Amino acid sequence: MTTPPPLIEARDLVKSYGAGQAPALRGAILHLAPGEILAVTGPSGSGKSTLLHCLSGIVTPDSGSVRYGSERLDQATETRRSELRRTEFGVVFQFGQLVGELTALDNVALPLLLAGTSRKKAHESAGEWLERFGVRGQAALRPGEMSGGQGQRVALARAMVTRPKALFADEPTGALDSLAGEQVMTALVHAARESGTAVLLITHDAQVAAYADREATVRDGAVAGETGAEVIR
Amino acid sequence: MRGLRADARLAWALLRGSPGSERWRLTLTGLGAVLGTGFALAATVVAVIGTRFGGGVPRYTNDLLNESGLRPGVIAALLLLVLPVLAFIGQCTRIGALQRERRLAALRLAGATPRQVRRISALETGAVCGLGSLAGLAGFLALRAVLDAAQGGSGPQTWPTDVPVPWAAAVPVVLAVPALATLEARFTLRRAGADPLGVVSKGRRPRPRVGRGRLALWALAPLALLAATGLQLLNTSVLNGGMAMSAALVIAVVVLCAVALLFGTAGLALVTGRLAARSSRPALLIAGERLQADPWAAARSHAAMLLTALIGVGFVGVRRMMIDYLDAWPESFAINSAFYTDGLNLTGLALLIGLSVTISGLVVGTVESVITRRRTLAALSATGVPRSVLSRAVLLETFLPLAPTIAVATACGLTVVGSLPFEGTSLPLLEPLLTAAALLAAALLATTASLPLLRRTAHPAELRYE
Amino acid sequence: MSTAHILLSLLASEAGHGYDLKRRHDDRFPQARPLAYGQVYTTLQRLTRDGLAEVAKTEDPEDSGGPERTTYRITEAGVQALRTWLSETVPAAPVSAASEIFAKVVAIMASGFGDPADFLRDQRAAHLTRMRELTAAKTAPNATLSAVLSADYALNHLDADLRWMDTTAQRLDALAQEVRTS
Ligand SMILES: Nc1ncnc2c1ncn2[C@@H]1O[C@H](COP(=O)(O)OP(=O)(O)OP(=O)(O)O)[C@@H](O)[C@H]1O
Ligand SMILES: [Mg+2]
Repeated sequence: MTTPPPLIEARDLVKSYGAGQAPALRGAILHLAPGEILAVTGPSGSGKSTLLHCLSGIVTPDSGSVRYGSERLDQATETRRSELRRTEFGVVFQFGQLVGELTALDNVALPLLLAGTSRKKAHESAGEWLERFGVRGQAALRPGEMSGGQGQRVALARAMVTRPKALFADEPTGALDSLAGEQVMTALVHAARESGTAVLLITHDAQVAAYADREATVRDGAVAGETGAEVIR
Repeated sequence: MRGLRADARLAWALLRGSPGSERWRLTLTGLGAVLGTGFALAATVVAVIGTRFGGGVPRYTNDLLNESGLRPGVIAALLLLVLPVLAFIGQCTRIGALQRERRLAALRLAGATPRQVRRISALETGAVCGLGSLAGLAGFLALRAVLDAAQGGSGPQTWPTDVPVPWAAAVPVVLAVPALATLEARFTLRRAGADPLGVVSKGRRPRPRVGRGRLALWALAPLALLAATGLQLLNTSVLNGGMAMSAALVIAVVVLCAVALLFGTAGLALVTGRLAARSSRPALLIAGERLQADPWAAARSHAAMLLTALIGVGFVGVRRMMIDYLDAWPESFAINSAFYTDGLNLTGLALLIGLSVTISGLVVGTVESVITRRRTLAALSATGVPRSVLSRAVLLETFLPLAPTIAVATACGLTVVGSLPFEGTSLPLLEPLLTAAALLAAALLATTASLPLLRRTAHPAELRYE
Repeated sequence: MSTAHILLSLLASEAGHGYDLKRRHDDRFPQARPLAYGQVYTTLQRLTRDGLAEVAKTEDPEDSGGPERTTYRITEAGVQALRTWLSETVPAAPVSAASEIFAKVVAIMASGFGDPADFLRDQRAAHLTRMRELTAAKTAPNATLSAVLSADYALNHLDADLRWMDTTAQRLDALAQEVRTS
């Protein structure tokens, strides 16, 4: 049996935020296979977010490589990485990523509008995605008028509306109670499986990590261990 | 009184431990106070020229200072310059409003009453303006000494340094500037700190709904404009001749236009916002929705700008017409026309100073809005929204309401100018229109100057906050 | 004592014979160890002896062609006992898995055989594997409510174990660091 080549592969990542500070990443190695759901766990301050930022091209590492297909993300320009993030990747944070003045529908339509889709078409698909995440009824509301769980589902709809190859989620359920978190996670997993999107999911919550196929644990800026069905120990 | 002392002490403690954005706000506020004090002190000096308090018979190189009939105009111009300064200080009060709201809410949770909380904030501004005011006085005295030394003792002088400092007026000015600023801050923050749960409910504030009553207010704008035009027509056609009467009418019309424009800006922001939000271009969409969400914010930050436009356009028009008039009837004036052109140019200089203060206020407003939204901007940038789109949205947010407002202000200014009785001259269009365009360009350029901040703000590091 | 009470609660809704009761039990508690038929049989006999249940009827093997079947039903005393049990709170004792993990970590440290961190890592993998199964079961499109509730119950207990294990691992890390630096 041959394993497919990884979608994204990071090798020996080192990243520090300024001289005199202990590096946030020191030699982290991680890959994300196409269509898999990977949970990244680890203590606070261990470098999980930094790892996600490097893999998604939000920041570039000081050294080491990030490969996306045949491309080197660590060497790509900000323009190119920005383009990748809006077309091939989706990004979701714990909160505060929706534009406060836009309705849920416009927020979800935003990536499509950026790609030059007409407003009517963009609204159509945005509506469909809101439906899938069970927040169609909130389409006309602004983020300030929604609950945290609804807001996160809108954010997920926005991240998925371009049917990305990879979805990066930094504690997407961090601000939610367990039931709201479950709704968000169920919606995320279903949507990702349906569109074949690979997911890198940071979480502190083992119950959330249990939605993933595989778990990577980060300690002190490096991936300390992996557990999961296909991991050979 | 004891309460006030305790509040002052608390305000001082907060001041000392304040973060970077607060320092910025306070520095800018202090600078505003320096400027305001400077202008007001200059006005007091001009006011005492030729009186029993100030020197002998005035003999300066500039007739504006010599003619007792013209000095009130100079004083008024200097005092008017204080207005944009106050607007600037008002803008500064808004910097970091979100963080302050949280801090005030924390004070409320700790048991402070809303009154107390507002007083503490106002005292903060007052203290800084007091320092600024003192610095303004020091700067004024230093400048005066330097000019005095530079122009020597004999012959007609350019600057009225021979007039002793009118302390009886200067002391009240130094006290009045911080007092005015404190009152203004008290007014700006009248609703701040009302909610002790501001800390908890951060970022979940419902969008302010546009009520019917407010729409009615906006309808006032075109009404007032119509009334202004009507009065103007009356003025030119029926009442032509009565000089005092028409002067009063002109002033009434200008005030009416100003009020109409102030209210109209919010209305125009709402309308242009609505139109823009229909677009499928993301920058237009974001800017449009922001304008709709809070049209009064646009009105606030553009108020000083459009008054400047109204006065600026009017001034340029009057200037051109006066010069043409002087050229047309050269023999009818006793004093040479250079006297008038000098006066006009000095007024223009004052307007330019006012304009620069106004534009600084505009930049402060933009900076404030970018800083407040930094987390969302950083998150948008992380999801791949190009910075150029974010920059355009910020520029459009200024441009969309400002362009139509300046157009209306220009029209108002021209209407007023057109009715002035300068025989043998025609209504100048080129210069006022150029002025309007230049004002708009200057506003946009100033907003552009704040874009590097956006680049820094939309950085992934901002994702860490909270 | 709980198996007896659970059987009583099943009988309270509907009378049934031994195999029927086992099936219903296993349906309702999919995460628990399946009940052995022998255990059902002895429990029913004990319930009958104590007067909490009684034989409703016995089917003759000649009639149905199968083995002899005895149908049981709950008695008045049984209902009373069930009510009493249901009105009592469960003692807040640690679940058995956690106490065993705890015992092993302590034993590893005491004996010096192996590394507690390694053990905890392996145990975490085992826990997460089980949690993945439970999550898959509860998010399956046709999952019944009782399946979801029982998966939630198990997940939360495993989660509690895991949290204790995480904290322990971090404490051991910090301890090792202290030993190294001093
Ligand atoms: N922009 C930044 N500037 C300075 N230091 C940073 C920055 N971002 C991260 N760090 C530091 O890098 C280290 C790793 O941070 P990171 O945010 O990746 O941790 P994390 O694993 O995501 O933590 P958490 O679970 O608390 O979110 C920390 O020590 C943090 O203080
Ligand atoms: Mg993090």
